[in-house]
Amino acid sequence: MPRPVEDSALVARMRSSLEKYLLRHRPDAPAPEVAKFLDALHADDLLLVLACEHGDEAAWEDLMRGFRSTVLSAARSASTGEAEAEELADSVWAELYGTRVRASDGRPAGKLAYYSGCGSLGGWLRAVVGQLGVDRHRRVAKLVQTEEASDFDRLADSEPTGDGWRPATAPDPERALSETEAARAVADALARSVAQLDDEDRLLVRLYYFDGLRLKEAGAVLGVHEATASRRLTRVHGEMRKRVETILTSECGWTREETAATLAQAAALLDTDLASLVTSEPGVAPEGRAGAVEARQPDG
Amino acid sequence: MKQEFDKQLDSLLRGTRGGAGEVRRAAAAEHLSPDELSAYAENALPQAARSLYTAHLADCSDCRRIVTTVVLASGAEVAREARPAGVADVSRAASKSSWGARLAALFSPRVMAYAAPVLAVAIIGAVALVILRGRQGSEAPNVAQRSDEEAARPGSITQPSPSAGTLEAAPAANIDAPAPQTQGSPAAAPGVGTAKTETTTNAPVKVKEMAQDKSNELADADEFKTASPVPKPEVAAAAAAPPPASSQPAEAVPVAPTSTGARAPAREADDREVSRQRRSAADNAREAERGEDARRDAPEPERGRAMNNNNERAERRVYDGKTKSDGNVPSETEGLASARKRQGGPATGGGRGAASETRFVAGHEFRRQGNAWVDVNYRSSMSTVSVRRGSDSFRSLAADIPEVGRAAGQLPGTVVIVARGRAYRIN
Repeated sequence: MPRPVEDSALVARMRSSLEKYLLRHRPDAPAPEVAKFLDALHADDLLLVLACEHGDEAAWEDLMRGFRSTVLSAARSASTGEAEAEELADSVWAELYGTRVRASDGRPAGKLAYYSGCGSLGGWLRAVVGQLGVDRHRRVAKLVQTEEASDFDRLADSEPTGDGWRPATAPDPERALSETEAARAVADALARSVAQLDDEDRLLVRLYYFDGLRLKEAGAVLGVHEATASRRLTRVHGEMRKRVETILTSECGWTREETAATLAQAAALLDTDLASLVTSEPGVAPEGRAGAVEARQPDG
Repeated sequence: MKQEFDKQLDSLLRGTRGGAGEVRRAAAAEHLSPDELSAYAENALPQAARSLYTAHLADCSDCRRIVTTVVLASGAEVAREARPAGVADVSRAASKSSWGARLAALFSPRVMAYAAPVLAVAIIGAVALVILRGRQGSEAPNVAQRSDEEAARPGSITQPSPSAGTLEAAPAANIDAPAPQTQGSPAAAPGVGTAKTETTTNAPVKVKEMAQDKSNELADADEFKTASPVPKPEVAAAAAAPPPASSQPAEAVPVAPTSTGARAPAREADDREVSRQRRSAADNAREAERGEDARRDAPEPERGRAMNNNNERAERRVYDGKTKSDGNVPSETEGLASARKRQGGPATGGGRGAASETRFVAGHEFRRQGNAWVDVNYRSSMSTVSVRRGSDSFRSLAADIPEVGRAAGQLPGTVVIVARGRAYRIN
């Protein structure tokens, strides 16, 4: 559909995208790669956005009609109720509608100006809604630290009983102290091993274990197949085990047998506690728990 | 699908939920922009930019959550929009298949390479089927014609006598059956009596005659019981009516009781013929009465079955007769007259005397030979089974072959009947 957009505006936007995503990281990118990047841009969506920026009402109507459901759906995902979702969607449209070209200088003054056309307009709108939802959540919600500390913290703070790692008063304080220190050592080794992973491996671990995604979903975020993600995770496990054992044996002075026994006990304890967590808090989703844990971290 | 994960490590990581070591939440300004997040989620970034954003996402739960939401929400739409516009347009155009495209695909060389042989085989098979059916249809009248020719050959055992030609040639209804009115079926009808259906071209005439003959016999029998033996008007009229000139050849339907088969031009000859026919009709009526009594005395199921079977066989014989018909349908009086003449005709089989009779019972034609009624289809070379009336064997035989029971019930004395390729002698 023809849009009343000047060629210069389109060229400027495309150049901006090219510089942002390709030339900034690879200034010497060859011409074929540049051409490939430009061909992959979503030209129709870009023209629609440019037309909206320049005040074309028809383009705006097309935008509303074509993406109203997308925005509302994204708002529902970022909200706890229908009313909140509709309010969030209206906020998004208000922000987008307000971003018209300023009459003074004709420069865009809104979020639409930041759409590069690299991704689809629908995806961009979902990201806009998600970000607004997170911001709103931070401002409105008051996260209360749940009784559940991180499992490793609880593991470290718990007092061992005669049966193992149980949050009870141990008859032997010295033993309890040593076991607590062992738990902390394991937690620390584990954290360090995760941090030492490659970015993609670390992202995979975060997506799968922290965000609670399924392996298929985590692979989709990474842009790989589920089987590829599974093989990668298996490899990551091996790497992490080696690093954890190396840290525990070299820095903590444990023997191999002690390391193996400690890891086994810790894993068994976490399994038991995880089951009890699930039964005690049936309505809390993994993301919710993650959010609760996240709330304890100070804002940056 | 999961490969063999390290269970201990998996449990440890699940317990920590991977949160160990996560950096402090980045400032709002350090977060990725919606454009960057959407481009990352749709895998639309160059590798260098993607690697940079991967590092941030690995440590920023907020941005990671938005990317995850976009990925899960877009799903297939992300995969579709990630393709260049040109490719997407082509795929959309291809998906909108028009009728022309569908037809073109249907008749594409690849499809036709497989469909053409199959189509050719189907066409050849259909043509062959049509040809075969046509041949079968043309063979049916040929078979009938051959049957007629065989019947007309001298010396054939089924060759009817000149006096009884028409009656023998068309085994129609028996004494128990009403006059069937249905038309004939193809030559492949059940073969009861079909061996005897070598007819001349006057088959429909004969069938009609015999049907009417039997019905009138029944009526005559009743009259004999209740009234004076005065023939019914139609019998007399039929007897008096001249045979049709066009439907009956002289050798098949004799008008005069002479072996030559010449017509009696004089009225005196006609009167004599009429009187003789009346006498024979009376005899037949008495015979029919005896047969009726015998039938009434038979067990109920057997009689009922016999009557039903008689009706069925009458219809079949009518069908058999009609299949060889030439379309001529004589009048009832003409047919009756022919039947009366046949019954009054000279005896066959040689040397039996002037009182030889033929009877049509249970779909079979019997010729009297002394004290026995012999099926005209009987051959001395046939294996013969002797059965005594009233015996268990007879009852089982009658149950198996109802026509045997009917013939034995209606014909006195010894009865030799040919059924199912075997001769049965009922004593």
